[in-house]
Amino acid sequence: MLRDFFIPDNFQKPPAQTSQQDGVVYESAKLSQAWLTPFTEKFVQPAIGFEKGAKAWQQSAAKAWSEVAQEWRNLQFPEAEALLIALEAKTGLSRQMLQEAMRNHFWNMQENVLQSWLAQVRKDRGPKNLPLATAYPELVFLVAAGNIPGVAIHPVVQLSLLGIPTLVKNASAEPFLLSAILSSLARHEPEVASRLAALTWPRNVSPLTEAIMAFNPQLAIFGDDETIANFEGQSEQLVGFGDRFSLALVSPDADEPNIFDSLAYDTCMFEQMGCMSPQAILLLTDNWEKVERFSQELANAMTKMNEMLSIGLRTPAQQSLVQQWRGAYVARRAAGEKILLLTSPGTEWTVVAAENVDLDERVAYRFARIWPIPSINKAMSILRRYEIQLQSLATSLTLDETKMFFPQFWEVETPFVDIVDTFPGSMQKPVFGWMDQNKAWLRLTRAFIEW
Amino acid sequence: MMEFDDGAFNKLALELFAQQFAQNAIYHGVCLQQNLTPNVITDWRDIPAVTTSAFKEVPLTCFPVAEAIAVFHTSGTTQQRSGKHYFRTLDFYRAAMRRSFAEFCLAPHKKMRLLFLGPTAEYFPSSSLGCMFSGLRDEFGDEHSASFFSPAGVAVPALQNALKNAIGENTPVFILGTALALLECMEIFQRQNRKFQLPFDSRILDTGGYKGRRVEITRAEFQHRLGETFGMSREYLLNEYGMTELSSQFYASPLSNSNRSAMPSALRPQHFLPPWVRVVAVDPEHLKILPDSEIGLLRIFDLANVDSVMAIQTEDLGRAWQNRIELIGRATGAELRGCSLLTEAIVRGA
Repeated sequence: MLRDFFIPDNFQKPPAQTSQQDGVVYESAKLSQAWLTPFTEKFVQPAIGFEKGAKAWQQSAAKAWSEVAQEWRNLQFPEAEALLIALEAKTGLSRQMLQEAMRNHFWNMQENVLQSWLAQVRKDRGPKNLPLATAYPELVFLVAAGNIPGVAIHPVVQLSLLGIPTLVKNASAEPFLLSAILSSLARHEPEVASRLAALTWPRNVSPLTEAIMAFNPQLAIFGDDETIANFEGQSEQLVGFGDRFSLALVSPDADEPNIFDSLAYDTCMFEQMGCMSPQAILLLTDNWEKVERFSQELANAMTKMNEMLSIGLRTPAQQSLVQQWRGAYVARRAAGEKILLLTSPGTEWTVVAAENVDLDERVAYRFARIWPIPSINKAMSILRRYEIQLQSLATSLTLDETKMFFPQFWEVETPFVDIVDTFPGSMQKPVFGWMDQNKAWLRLTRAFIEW
Repeated sequence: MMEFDDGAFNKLALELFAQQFAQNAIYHGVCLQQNLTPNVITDWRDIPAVTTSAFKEVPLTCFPVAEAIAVFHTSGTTQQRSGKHYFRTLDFYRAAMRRSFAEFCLAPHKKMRLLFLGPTAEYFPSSSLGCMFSGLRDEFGDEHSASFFSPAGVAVPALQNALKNAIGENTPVFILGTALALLECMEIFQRQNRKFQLPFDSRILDTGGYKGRRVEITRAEFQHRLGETFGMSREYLLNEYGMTELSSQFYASPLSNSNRSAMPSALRPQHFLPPWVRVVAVDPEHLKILPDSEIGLLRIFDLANVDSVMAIQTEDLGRAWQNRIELIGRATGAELRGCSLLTEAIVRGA
């Protein structure tokens, strides 16, 4: 049976009710302030951090999480089939996409990787007797977004490795995945799972949120800007993962044989809805013929990727958005702009090359925008313009271009230190420590050391 | 109202298409990209449509933009550019507005006391709804007609006085407003524990747009609250469907004096089309025209859009018949648009 909640065994469970849909039996928690407040009171406790005895905890947690990761990469656990059915129905993503998503979330969670991350945290925290380095929170309230299933997995694992009590509020749009992952963890190592909980309630049910906020938790909010702003008004202890997007910077002359398949994969994964999805491919060239060839090759790769990573359910609203985005480019081309528009017969995928791309307008649903950029300097000016919103940048450049670009990109004191630096084909499978690029998250996991 | 048969509509539509193809350079280019020209089109349904998004990107006009006497802007969100609809003349817009409103909303009256809870042209010259409300006031409003909406917000006490006066005089009133402004008033009246019993034959028209923003309620609940607050039965609660990219408006109105084959339902109002408008629903995946009554994206052919583009591909889901549409709603997830956004910004700032 799937549940929209996970409560550790040593706590009283909330009342629940079962229902059936799409052949899957669900159990939903019936939450109330009267249950949630005493639960949270008991749940709050000092973190393990790097206190006495922490090493044993960390070893145990790293081992348990690596075992869970192994199970989930291969979807070898009792509820896997039911979970896939539920996720397909809830998210509209195809089974192929969901299986790939699980592989990507867990690909880099081997025990040694988790141990290395902990060692890095320990090192970053500095001398043992530094007083500031002891202040791990006694409760993290993590609010998960619903657009990408599993968006909260990496942060939850990191908090768990540090033994920080973490209460996750699942998105109503996708309440099952994290609850199921925590159930897996509890089977492997109940003690580690005892500091994690996941519950689900709609964002507008404020009494439940207020019940948590009364404990003055450290907040980690994944969501739209409105959600983050709403919590910012309530607490200063907040790490926000809001409206961000990613780009690819690619040279048509780079020696990268799989570049088209890689870019098609990055664009199609999660239907381009995540912050790691490329909103545009900056193509380093001023030669329109190269742009056309590149676009055609990418269109061919998108056709192939459509078969490899099938589309699940695309709603009329999503189809309408694609038609409107295409219609805008048709009109711009009619007005004389140099635009190449390549599309599938339906709304499956779109490749458009245009001399100007408006990154303030976000696209999704396999809509690849190619933006020819004549020089590295022009590319840098675009990156600077969007530096606050950039989540990751994937690059594939010639050797000469690499030598020109990275010294500027890595220039000391630029805001680009917050951006995940990656490669085409890897944008959607970030390494385990990718969130450490976020300064606020870094302060949280390193116990608020000022950097 | 005079009816066009399909043949008459087709003739006019093809003539207008040929004119727009010849005079609107950008639309000309859009048609050429699809190899659809006046030489090959014989049925109005095949006339190429432009998406509403195109209005955000380019000026779609049959005349030099500098000659525009009015430009109506769509209500853009902070991240989105707003669309612009340029007019060389407002004669067609006003004629369309007068004919539809008189028939579908006002009859049998010639004039009424119109009370506006939405933009008017004085304060909001780039709002098509503002143009419409001001035009209606000038054409159909009695001497006590007034607007209670400005950049400062909704003037609720003044509205309250106007309603009291009308009740004292037993004069029916016609309240016209955006759904958000009406909700704002109702919330204030509710806090004051105030209810009205408006004189018989009073009406309320809302211009929609209450989904997706700060306030989300069902249409049935919205109508119930209107009825309770103003003491009116549902048959006097009307709804308008319009958009900046069009020159015509469509009304869900049980008060029409035309012999109509269907009445609006409570949950899904059917909006009647004036004879110079036709609507088809298209399949959102391939944009192929669907048979009557199948649900799809609405594509509107508005002959009053003389100097821009007649055929508009909307983001709205619905069903279409020859003389009416059933609006199911904006395809969820599509950009929030409509005058309620303007209203909300003002209400929030007030």
